[in-house]
Amino acid sequence: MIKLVNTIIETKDLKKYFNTLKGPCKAVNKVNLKIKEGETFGLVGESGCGKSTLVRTILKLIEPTSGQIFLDGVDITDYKKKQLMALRKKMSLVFQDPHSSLNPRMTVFDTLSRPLKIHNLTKNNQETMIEITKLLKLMGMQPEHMIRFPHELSGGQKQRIGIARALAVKPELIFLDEPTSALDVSVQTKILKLLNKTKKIRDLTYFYISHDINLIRVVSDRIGVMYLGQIVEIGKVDLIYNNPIHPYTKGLFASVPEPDPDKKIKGEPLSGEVPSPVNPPMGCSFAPRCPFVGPKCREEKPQLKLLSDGRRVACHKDNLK
Amino acid sequence: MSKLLDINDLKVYFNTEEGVVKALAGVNFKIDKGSFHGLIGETGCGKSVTGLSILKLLDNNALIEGGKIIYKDENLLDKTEKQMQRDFRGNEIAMIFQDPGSSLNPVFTIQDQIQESVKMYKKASKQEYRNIVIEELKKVKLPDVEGLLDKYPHQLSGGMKQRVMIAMMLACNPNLLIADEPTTALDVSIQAQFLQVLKNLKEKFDMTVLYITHDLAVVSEICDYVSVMYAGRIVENVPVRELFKNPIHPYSYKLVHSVLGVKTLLENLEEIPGSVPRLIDPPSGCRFHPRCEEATDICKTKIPQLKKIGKNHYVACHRR
Amino acid sequence: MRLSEVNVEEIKMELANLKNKKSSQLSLVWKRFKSNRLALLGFVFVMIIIFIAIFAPFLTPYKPYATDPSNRLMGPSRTHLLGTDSLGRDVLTRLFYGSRIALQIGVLIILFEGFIGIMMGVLSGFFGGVIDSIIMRLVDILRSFPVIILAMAIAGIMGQGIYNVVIALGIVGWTTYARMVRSKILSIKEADYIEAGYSIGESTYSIITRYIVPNAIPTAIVMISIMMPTALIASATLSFLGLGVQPPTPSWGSMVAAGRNYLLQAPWISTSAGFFIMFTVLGFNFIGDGLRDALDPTTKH
Repeated sequence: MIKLVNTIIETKDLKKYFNTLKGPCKAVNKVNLKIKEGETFGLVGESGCGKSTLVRTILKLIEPTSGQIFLDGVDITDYKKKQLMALRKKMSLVFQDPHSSLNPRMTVFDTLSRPLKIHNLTKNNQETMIEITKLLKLMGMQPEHMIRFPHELSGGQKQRIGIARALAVKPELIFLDEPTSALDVSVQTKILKLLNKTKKIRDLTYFYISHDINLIRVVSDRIGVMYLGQIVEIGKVDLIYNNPIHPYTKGLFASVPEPDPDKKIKGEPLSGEVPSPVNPPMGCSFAPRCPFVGPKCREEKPQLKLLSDGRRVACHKDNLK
Repeated sequence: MSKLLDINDLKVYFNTEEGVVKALAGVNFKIDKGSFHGLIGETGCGKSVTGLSILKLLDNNALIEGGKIIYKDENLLDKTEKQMQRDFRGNEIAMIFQDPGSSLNPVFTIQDQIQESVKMYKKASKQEYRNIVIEELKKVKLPDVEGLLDKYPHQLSGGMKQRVMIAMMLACNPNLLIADEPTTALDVSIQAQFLQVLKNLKEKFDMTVLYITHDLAVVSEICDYVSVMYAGRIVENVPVRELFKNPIHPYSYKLVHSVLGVKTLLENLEEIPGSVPRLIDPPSGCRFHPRCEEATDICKTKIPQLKKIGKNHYVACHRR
Repeated sequence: MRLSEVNVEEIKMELANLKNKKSSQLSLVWKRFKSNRLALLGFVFVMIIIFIAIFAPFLTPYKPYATDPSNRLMGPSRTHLLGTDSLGRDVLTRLFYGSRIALQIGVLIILFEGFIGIMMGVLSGFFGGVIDSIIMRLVDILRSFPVIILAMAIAGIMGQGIYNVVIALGIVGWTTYARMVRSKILSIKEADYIEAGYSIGESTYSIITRYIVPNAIPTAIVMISIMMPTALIASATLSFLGLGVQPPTPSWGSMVAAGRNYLLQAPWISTSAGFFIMFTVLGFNFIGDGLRDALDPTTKH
């Protein structure tokens, strides 16, 4: 039986600009993205590339400057107030820093009961209790953790509560903003495995953002590489990982140290600095650092082109495979 | 290989409101001259405390309970503050930290700051100082060095600031550089540039570096020897290749096999059960025993000592 | 997961535990406060003053306004424990009744400055933008006023008395607290849990009441506890300068002033009034410090 895969999220020419004294900060600069239902999509990029802003714009936590956002085929770009509530039930967010993403004055019970009460998912206190107990058990925690305050929990436990909160609304899609970067290595693996298991149990779609290429590789089905507000390469993870095509992707992947003393980084894969999204260069934003730069690159912004192996790359270089 | 630094059974405790934190409970390792020695461990294992102890830069509530830090035949723990400042800090042993933003003085130009370091060890004319500063900045491959001299720290990016820090340290010509998580706050591409600078310096100037980090991948990139630290003790001292090809201590094994990047599938990554212990009330005997699948009675009662199990390879475990 | 897999008994127990937890948090704070000797001392000081204020008529046979010119400037004796002042009134009695004035003024100032200050601080901190700019500029302007001159002007226009003291001090005084509240709210807003609240669908009202206010309360409590000593000293100063509360009303400040002229003959007048001021102010200061530590023992000073 062929299962038709829905596009759960689509963005069209999405832009988010911030006004600064030095000029517009083009945090999200014309992003065209399609996320398939049931997949794990990983957005990778260095600091300042706009991935956090992109996620918050899609979630409508921030208002887009221009462009469109579609959720399950419906245009949600201009959604306000009441309509937004429906969105909050369909998409949720797991935050990076477990130490500041939980209200210090709310117990675990309070934190997890809020989403249930706001969206009328439970009718009374007893049902709320039951639901919260289920969530805690799913996270590998005990019901007694319900009465704890955040300062009485470890970093890993706090992050589990953050994940439970995102699950409480019973969403279709969960965005995960560097969910393990603030955690120890030994806790990291556990959380990632927990997320993986939960995705299968609850039949979810995941959108990870991270600067950690190794993490994105190990969790994602498809990945996108973001640079200065734009997606420069997007496609199946193994395809891109084994054979990066965009010069930035190439340089970025080559910069990642591998935990293998026989495989060392050669030289300086990427020269220059990570640029500021305020007043980005004309033409291709990577041109100033690109070893393959040509005259067209400085004048015209490259669009994402479909290649024969299914990936999309935004580059003017002619001999792209 | 002559030993530049020999840390022998170092014990450091901290007096806190909640009790005594037994941060270092017997740290043992030796650094060879000219080597890049990695000190790897997770948050709270005591690696930063170890680095600070070498330079005696610990907080007032720190108690040095025992052990020796032998640097070139002298025990640094016997030195007074004045002796440390005059004879060792900067000109013999220098340290760079994780956040370059807070290590550089915001009201001094780059030229002035590096010059201050140089002034402590050399008297020269204004022009000579300028030339020395330029030399040091060139060593760390900073672009447009002349233009950099009159800039202030806030005008530089994180990566550049970190390189300026190294230049500042190099200007004092130390024999040992301690780097405490220098790239944790940097982007991956900037980290790669920084590591390249370190590699160049190692080749050209035969520097000795103690590189403190939680990142195994970085260790495999630039270190030649590694000390694996867990909850205040060294569990394994091993050449880098051996650590990755054949980790002996149960913790080292799990660590090496749980690092992202070592496997492509999530399911194949190892997990270490339990969590890092609180050092106010640490486990008895081997501090890893509560999380070790092979723990036996002796592990709970007797502290394992580092013993030789191969060429330059030492492990502290009762089960090996 | 079916209902049967979830232990209903367990749940009922946790519900009860939760209720206990909330009240135990409060008792934890009290416990920490109690263990702080200085804070307890301050608490005792303040309780003494409150007791004196309430039971003043029972603590002394004299009336505060009863003059007795034949017994003026008498030294401390068995009939007049702290002697008499220039009009023959019993000093101790006036000091006792003075505590009523002091506390009254203090409470009124706290209500006045606190209400305006907190409201402005919340508006400024939460909404930011133009509102913040306007309010902060207003704060800057008001703070550049010399308070004493303003108090004199108000006294000149509205006459003297308790309420005018409160207004004179309060008009400028709220600015300190607005700033404190604003800065606390700004730092709360930075935290991820605020954005997390929005992400699960909390309304703005809910964010303010469930997320921001509860985290700002410790700051507010500490703030209020330092407002009292500040208010006391400010009003005593005004009285001392001849503004605000005037004789024959027994305010400690004016008693210090009145006693100034007789420092050599009858030093006990000024000194004892000064002592009462100091005693009360210290008491509130110790409580304030104690509260700060008890509410958040993790902050290092």
